[in-house]
Amino acid sequence: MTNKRINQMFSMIKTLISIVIAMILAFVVILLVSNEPLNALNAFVTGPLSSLRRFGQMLEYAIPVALCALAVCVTFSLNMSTVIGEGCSFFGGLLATAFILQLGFTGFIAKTIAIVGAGLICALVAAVPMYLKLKFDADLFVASLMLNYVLLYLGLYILNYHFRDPDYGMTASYEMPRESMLTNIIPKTSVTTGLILAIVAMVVIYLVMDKTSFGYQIKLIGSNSKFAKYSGVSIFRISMLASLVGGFLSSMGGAVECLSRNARFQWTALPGYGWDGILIATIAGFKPKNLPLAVLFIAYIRTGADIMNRSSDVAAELVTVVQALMILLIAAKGFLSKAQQRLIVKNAKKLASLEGAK
Amino acid sequence: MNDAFFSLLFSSYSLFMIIRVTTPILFASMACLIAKKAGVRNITIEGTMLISALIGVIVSAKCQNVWIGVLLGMVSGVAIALFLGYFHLFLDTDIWMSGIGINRIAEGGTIFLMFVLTGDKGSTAALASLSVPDVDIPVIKDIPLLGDILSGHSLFTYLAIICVIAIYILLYKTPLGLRIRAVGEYSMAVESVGKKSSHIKLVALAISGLCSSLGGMFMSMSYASRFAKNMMAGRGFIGIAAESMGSGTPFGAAISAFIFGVFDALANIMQSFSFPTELVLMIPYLATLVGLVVYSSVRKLKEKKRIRNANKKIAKEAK
Repeated sequence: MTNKRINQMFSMIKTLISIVIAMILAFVVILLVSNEPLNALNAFVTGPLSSLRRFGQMLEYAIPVALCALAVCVTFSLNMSTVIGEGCSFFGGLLATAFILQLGFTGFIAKTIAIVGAGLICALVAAVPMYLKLKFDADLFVASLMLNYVLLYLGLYILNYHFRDPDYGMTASYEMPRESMLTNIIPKTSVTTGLILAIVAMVVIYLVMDKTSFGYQIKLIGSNSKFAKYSGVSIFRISMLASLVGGFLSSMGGAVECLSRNARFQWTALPGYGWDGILIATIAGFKPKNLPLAVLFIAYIRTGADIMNRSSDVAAELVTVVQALMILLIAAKGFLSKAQQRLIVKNAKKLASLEGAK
Repeated sequence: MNDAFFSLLFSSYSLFMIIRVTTPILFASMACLIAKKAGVRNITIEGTMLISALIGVIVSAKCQNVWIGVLLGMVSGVAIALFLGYFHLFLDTDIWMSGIGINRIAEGGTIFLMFVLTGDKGSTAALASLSVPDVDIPVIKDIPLLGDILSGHSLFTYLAIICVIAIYILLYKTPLGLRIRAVGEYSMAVESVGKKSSHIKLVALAISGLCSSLGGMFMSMSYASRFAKNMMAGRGFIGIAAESMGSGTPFGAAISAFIFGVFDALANIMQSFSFPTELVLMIPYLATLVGLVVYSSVRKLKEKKRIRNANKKIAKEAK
């Protein structure tokens, strides 16, 4: 076995162990707080598969977070922590709605303009904190976080003063025409052609990250930016491009969500897809090819938790805690590192003795 | 409208409000500062504030003693900081990742716990929790205008001001402060004289957690008299922003926290004058962005100047 294989194997085992620990904790908490623990556990574990509608609900959640996680796979591969995905998914959803309401026509072209237009604007927005980081050495995390709130309040202003339907009970935009929303592909659910968009995006980003020089340059900057610089990679150009791509993808996540489920835009707070995206991308090791599995897993437990919330006395927020615990354990380089080290040393000794025997 | 607006803006009431809304941001910025001085970017302040705010409310309601509530809230803040420290320092977890993780735990965990205890996901209105008393300052309260502005604040507000001074003294006048700053600058130097850098970082984190917990409890036990879902609304993050604008000193951070407080109060006041609240609420964040750029570019210019001077000096000496 080579060291690379051992490392790969370990990162997989570590991910699995982290997930198991977090899930065991979830089960223990359910047993402790619930008056009807079996009912709750049953809903949590088997809920998403119990009906087509619930399975669809799982996919509905998976689509936007898959796109946001994809954005994180691109931007976090630079080894720079920008959390603008949260703001972009919100603003993207709002802008897409705004485009549809403003355009005088409906149909395929309107949808395309809405999603692409919102995506391009958000791509530019997402590049702002990266620009500030690269040109002025501003703190990327703080800058992107602040921009999230700017986007939230700007978005709410646009909603309240331009698109708000005063006759509707809650804060919501005017109704979008059905023909301008994404086409439903699974009856009785809100799963739309957004699913196809998400799958296409995953394939494209996988190819870009693993098969093109652009993807390689991103990863090179992430693993050793000095080496990248001295090998002639333009850090500025590549980082800016990567954050443009990230902003576009996050915005697409929000836009697809808004054009799928509700005919009205109703978000009055940041939707949390950006954070979930970071979480899922962490589980996938920031590799697009692992992403589908990670997305489906998280969507499964999230949907299970929602169903549990509705059919028993345990709150769905439990799963937010469980997910976060997973990130902590998976991101902990020191977790299980001793066992990994031992295995590498043992393997090296074995190889050395084999060499000696020759 | 204008006259009414300005007379309200410059009234003692609004100055009182500014000091009041600055309190949590001040605590958060101190929490960020002390951790940053030790070389740890603590972004869990927001989450820590949430958890401590809830713990304080729950314990004060269950024990019917506000001080036990405050004490356990503080303990919970320190515990979370140590939890972060354990993951970051001993399990070698990326600081951003552990921060994001802990904030998510706080966000979901507080709602979960609140639901278990009260059956309500929105707020702890069902709990008979206690509040920290307001304090009248003996002499100042009798001075006409000044008394209205400076006296009668929550105990925590005065604690926040003391906190700034205490952090300053701790950092610049005590051996521990020297060690904390040394660890942040160059941890090897500290290791080389036989001090464990991870222990010093943990101490700094614990203090950071303590400051965050006070900020959180101010929100749930003084500003409001109950805990509500996501009640920090980014104040912990604004504290981080205030710190990074404050040029790395306690008083600098305090001044920029105050500026954020001004905008926050301004938003409160403008709300009652049918000005788009959303745009006013946006100002502090936009100001942070601008502030970050200004601060970073000034720092960069200084750095360049220093290098140029050093080069000149070397060239001179070579002659």
